[in-house]
Amino acid sequence: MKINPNKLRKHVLDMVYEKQSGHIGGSFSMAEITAYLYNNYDLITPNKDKFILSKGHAVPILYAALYELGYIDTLDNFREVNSPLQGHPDKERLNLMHATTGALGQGLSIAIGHAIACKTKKLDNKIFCVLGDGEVQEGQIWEAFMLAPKYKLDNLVCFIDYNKSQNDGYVKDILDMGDLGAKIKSFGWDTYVIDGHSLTDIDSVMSGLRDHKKPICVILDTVKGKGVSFMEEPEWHAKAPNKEEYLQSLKELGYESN
Amino acid sequence: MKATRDGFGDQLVISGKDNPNIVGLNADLGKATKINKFGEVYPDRFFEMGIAENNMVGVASGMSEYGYKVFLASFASFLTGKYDTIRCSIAYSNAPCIIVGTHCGMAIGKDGVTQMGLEDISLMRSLPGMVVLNPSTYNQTKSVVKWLCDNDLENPYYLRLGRQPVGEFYNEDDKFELGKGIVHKEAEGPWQEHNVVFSTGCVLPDVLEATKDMNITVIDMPTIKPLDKEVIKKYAKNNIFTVEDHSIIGGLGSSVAEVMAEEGIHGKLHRIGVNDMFPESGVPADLYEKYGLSANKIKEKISNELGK
Repeated sequence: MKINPNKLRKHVLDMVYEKQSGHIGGSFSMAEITAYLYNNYDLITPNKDKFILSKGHAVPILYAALYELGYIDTLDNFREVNSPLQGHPDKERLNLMHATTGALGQGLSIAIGHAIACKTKKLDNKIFCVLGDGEVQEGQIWEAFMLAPKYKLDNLVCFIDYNKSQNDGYVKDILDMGDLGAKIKSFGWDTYVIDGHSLTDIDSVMSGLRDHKKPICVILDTVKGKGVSFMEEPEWHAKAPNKEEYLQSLKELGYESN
Repeated sequence: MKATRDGFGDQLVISGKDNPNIVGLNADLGKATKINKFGEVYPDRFFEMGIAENNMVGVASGMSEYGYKVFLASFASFLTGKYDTIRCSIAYSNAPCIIVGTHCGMAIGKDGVTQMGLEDISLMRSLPGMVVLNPSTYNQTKSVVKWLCDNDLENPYYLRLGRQPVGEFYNEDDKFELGKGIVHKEAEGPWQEHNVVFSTGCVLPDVLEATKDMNITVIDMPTIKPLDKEVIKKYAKNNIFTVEDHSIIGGLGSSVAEVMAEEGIHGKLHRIGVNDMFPESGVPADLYEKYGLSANKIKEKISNELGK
């Protein structure tokens, strides 16, 4: 079964509305890449491909994908006590998470550890890591950008969810990141900038992975809150909808209330 | 005399021979931490991260997912200063890595406060699941490192090491026992009048020198967490001294205080260590004299308290 990005958004909306807690904006901007990776790679079997969500607050979109694929039974216990569905990814409570994250800036380093280990153990796996564009303000990310080319980690793909907003507002107002692609390329990565909501664009980059000898960074040009018109604003970083907003969102995502 | 950091470097080379899953991560202080010794013998299992300790912590966590036993080394002050990274990427992730912090304490001397690990035990001890080890001599460190290499680790470890050569009080083939204090001498006379010194790390020679003519028990505590409660319950009766080249806040002294309070032990605790301040550069012996960690000053402190 191929999972549909809008179906993932619908599950995220339900979770955050139900618990009145969680991060919609940065989950919605990642719906296409999440669907693509779960549809095309083995992110379930131990010692296969890995999906390290460095921007851990967007974890509802991963829970949605795992639910759609039948690997978790329910989303009803999201953010509840005694639940594997923690507010941020916790691999000790849910082993389908490949890294414990949520303190921003740490996931790419962990992904590099995976990539080095796969190289030395001769495992032909891909390691995917998703960063937020605001998250790239963390210094540790740049330590990681420096290191990956040294070890020629062509098994590592770093996506940046370039949705242009962060907790307190627009990235350009808080700390403008300038030409991210040029900066990262200058560190020795192969970089791409693509439409992060186009499965076709994502597929064309991913189809060419075998040709690379360097780590790859794909900047996904996205819209925070993508899919619901009024959620395409920074304030929907960590806001929960009221009933009226919820019903309107369902309609815009193509799911009428029942 | 050899330093505990040398015990680490030497044993890692020995243990690395039969265990291909041991790997070393370095952050440009390999000669100082002695992890370079491992790198010279096993270059394929040695990874230079550059001066980027946060990244090193994350890489260690990721590599540990594949059965690697990862030793990551830097100065204790720099490494444990990356607290939130260690907290999330290693401790909360329950990554069974061994964080090796060398150059602990004032004993590093002339390089001064920035390079001294003085709060590292306190920081690492507070992290859930983190075991904290602070061996006192070269041989003890070798047995600790051998133990770490020979056993399947299920949680993260912090190994605290010194720069300075120290006297030897252990045999090369002594077995390390996690969470056990080691009694070096035992006071004579009625239990109610017993006094005890708990020592941790490279101050042990000073403690033994200070107490050589005293009727007092001396116990070396190479494991700070989990702490040996039984040895504290057995020996903490009257005056209890703790000695450490570390802040008196959050280190051995605080750990012993917690056990005493929770066990209802009514002795009087005297914490000897770095007294909630930053020391300075200097010849190590001068610093120990000025700040109360020389054998002479430890003896003076204990004698004064016992004479009251």
